[in-house]
Amino acid sequence: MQIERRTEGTVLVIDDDDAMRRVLRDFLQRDGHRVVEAANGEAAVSMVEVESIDVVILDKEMPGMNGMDVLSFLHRRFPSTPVILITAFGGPHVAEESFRRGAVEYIEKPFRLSNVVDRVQKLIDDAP
Amino acid sequence: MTLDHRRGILATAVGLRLRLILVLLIPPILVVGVYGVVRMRAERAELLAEDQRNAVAIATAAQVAVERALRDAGPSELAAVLADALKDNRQISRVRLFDRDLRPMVPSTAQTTNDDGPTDALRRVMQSGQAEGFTRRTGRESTFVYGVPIRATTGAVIGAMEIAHSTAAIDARIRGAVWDIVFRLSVLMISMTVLTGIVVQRQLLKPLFALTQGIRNLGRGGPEAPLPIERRDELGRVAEAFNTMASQLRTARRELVLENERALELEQQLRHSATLAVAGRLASGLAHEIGTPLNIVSGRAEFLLHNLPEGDERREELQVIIGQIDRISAMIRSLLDTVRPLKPTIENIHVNTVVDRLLVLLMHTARRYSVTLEVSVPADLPTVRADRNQLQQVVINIVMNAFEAARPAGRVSLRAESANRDSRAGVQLVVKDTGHGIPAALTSKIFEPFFSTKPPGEGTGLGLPICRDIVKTLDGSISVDSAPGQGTIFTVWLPSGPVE
Repeated sequence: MQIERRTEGTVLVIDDDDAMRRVLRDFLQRDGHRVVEAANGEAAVSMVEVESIDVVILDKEMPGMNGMDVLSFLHRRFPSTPVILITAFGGPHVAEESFRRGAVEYIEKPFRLSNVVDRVQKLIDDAP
Repeated sequence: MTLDHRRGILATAVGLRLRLILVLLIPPILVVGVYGVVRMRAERAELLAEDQRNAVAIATAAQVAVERALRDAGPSELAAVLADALKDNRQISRVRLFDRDLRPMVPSTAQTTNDDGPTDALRRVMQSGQAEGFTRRTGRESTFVYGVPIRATTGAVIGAMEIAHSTAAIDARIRGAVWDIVFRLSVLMISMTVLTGIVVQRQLLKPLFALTQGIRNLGRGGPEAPLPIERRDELGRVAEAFNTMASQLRTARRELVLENERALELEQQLRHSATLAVAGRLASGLAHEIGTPLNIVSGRAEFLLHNLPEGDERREELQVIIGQIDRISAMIRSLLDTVRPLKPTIENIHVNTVVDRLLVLLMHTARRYSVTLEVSVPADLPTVRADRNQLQQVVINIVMNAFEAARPAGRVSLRAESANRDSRAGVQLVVKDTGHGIPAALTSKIFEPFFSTKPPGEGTGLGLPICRDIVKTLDGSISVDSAPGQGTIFTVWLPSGPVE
């Protein structure tokens, strides 16, 4: 029997794909985190004003306000909230740009979900 | 060289030679000939006149001798006296001495004759008592006849004497002279013909032939072989001018070939990067479209796996699913790595340096499309923040589209100017064509991936979407303004970098 001490937190998942959001939610909830979802950039921007968020998982490709714009906004508004950027249109220069705009993690699709969840856990554990 | 060419040159050469010979020789020969004829006639007339004077003198002497013999010696001496008077005058062909009854007064001898030729002249002389001369023609021969009266001491006319003087000798002399002249003229003509032929061949045809060869050689793009310049005359100058022209043509041709090579190289380079961009876009689109569902499937499998207790046999099945999805993921990732565009190098760029580098290619393509291209990109514009290769690709894509729209015989202009947007300094590139324009319903679609009006296989439908992506990553904007029949204007705006 494993004994793990987990810190629980609130995770905001921003992705236009419904199934993707659900699978992330199921994983995170299983570990005891609270999950709030936004289907686009605009919804996310209004949601962060009312919710207290520990970690953000952000998809770069979305219609309307795209991931990079959301990232810049979040970093300006809540500089201490870590953001994990997920993208299918990757590459070193995209990674560089995400870090420049304030992302703490950069993950390319397709990925292993357990990896993402592990990183979220680590970010929450490390939070002051 | 084909046989026809050789024949052509030969025909021209013979023609020129013959013409020159005719022009050079006919006038002098005509002049000499006419002069000869006139001169011969004058000569002949003079000779005849002299001959007639001789004949008259002989006839007068013979007349005196005959009258004296009749008076002093009697008719028996007449023949001897006459022979004496006529000796050494071989031109006298015939002498007739008749009395009033037209009976011969002397027997026929070598020099006198009593034949029954025309006696009309003798009769006239006896009647008039006057000497009389005339020319009588018999066939081709002409004879000068001179008649004198024979008088007795009383003064009465008792007979008449006729001296006929043949002009055959003079005619023979004249004929001889004419043949002599004709012979000399012929010799002169033949030698002048030969000489002119040689001179024309050496001085004119040989250099002309060399020039013709040179021109043919040049026309075929043959090896460089300047014509030898052996002379300082007009033909030498023609050869010199030809050599100059040939070398200028060769230089121009070399430059054209070089320009074509440069354009081709640039085109290949651009096509390569355009292909890469298209492939990158396709691959990342694929990664997104497939990657997301794959992620969900593997996520669901992982979720199930985590919820199953250790030792459950279904765990193995899920491991297989996850393993296979990992394989697909790895494949997609390696595909992405292969076609991933190079990391752009964002720097401050003078737009004119990008356009200048493309100019050879653009002008070349404009010619191929029969389109007039006007470029106005000043060097003193502010710099823009961009990747050189990407900016190049944007310009190429938009201008090539304009060429497609404007061809044939249309105009395309590429203009750059300083422009501010939302109080940000920048530069805008404006590409305008005189094509048919884009229907309003389509202007919103042209930036969508895979939208193309070209026949299948010719356009990827990704040119403008890639341009839009590039411009967006550079924080700029791209817009289109078009109306059917009015042509199309594409405007790309890029923000200026910090002042260097």
